[in-house]
Amino acid sequence: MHEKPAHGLKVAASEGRFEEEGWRIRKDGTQFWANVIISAIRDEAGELRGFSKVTRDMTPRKRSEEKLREIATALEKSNADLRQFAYVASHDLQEPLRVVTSYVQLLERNCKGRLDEDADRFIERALSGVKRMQTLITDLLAYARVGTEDRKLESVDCAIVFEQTLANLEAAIKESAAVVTRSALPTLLTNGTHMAQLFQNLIANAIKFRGAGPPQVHVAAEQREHDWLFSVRDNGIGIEAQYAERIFLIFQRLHSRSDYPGTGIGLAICKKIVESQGGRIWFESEPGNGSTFWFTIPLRRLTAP
Amino acid sequence: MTVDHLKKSMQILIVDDSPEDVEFFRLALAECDGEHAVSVAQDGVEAMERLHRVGQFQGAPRPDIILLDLNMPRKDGREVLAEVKADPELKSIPVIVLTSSSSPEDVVKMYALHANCYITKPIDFEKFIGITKAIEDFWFGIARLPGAESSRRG
Repeated sequence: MHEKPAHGLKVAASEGRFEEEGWRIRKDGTQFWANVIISAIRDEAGELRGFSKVTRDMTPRKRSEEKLREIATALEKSNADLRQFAYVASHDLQEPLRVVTSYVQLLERNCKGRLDEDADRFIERALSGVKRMQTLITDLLAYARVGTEDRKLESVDCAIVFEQTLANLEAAIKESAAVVTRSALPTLLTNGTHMAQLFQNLIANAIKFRGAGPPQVHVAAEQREHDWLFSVRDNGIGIEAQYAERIFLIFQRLHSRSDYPGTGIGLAICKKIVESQGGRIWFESEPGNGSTFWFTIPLRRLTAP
Repeated sequence: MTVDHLKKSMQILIVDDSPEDVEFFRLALAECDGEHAVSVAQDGVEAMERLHRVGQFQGAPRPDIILLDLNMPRKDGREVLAEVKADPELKSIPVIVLTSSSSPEDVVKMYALHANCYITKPIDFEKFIGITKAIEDFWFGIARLPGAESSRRG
């Protein structure tokens, strides 16, 4: 390795200290990553008397830094590949499905009642199958999009998001005679679409998995040292503790489709959203006695002065 | 419908590499009120040849409206749209992008390339009929198009 001691000495002489890092060669010819500090030594009168030079072998640190950087790059690439895969697969899978759905519908339009009873039933089953597949793909696409879409942070009034969510869920609320209430909710620096999706999924679930009586759902938020802690509490059927992990996985369901329809996407999307913002999501529940879903949104301050 | 009496017979160019989608469009159009002439280009290259009346397409009619798919082999819909809208002879023909892509980037990009309308292909045939009827109502009924105006004058 070529060293430029003259430059280092010059800097040390004028500024008192010079530091650099780079590959150096040991006496045995092997390479090592060196941290070199050259300091100027001056006498009491301030006259330059000489220099001290400390060279430290930082090879292990350098190697682990490099390793970390490699891992980070590989992870970033694999994440990007995964997003691209889910997105493309969702689109390309929709195509043939649209064709199948449409032709089965054409069969139904043009031939229903002119074939036998079995044929009519087969058509119906085929249609319900492809519809389900379509929903799965749409959900997969929605899941894949979390994190690829616009992630801009904005000032979000959670009380307004709450009101909008109730408006979106009006039909379900009326039908179930649900009472959805809230405590004071904050205005935070976060992503508005994400907050809306969180409220929507958690409140909709609270209404959907209701017990015998009308659902009572309460949304609250509490500021802590490093984050806001949100809770969505219900009086529904509850969840057994053994499902704590599984319930947040994509397409995992705890009930049959005939009891509770749905693909099992809602909580997976919630988890992805919360984690993409650096928060956590979990639940506490006593089966038969309702559940409370908790999630955190880390505090962010406006960087502008 | 109050607009029925305004409905014209349109010359439609559909650019789509999926024969199924072309069939769905024809079948859905058959459920509409008007009688329309449909020509089909299987990809962007053929679309441009038809529009420029090159070779075997010398006698091809000038479409009143173009229905354009985005993802096609050889030359895709984005390229076709850019070429049509950059061509003084062709740019006044309304282009309806009709694609399976629902990606927000495509929507923004196609309007930036002067698409006149962007529609995501519906997930089933029932909805396809609804959309085709809506296209007929609006584009062939309510809206006045330059092609029909000049042929009226001519």
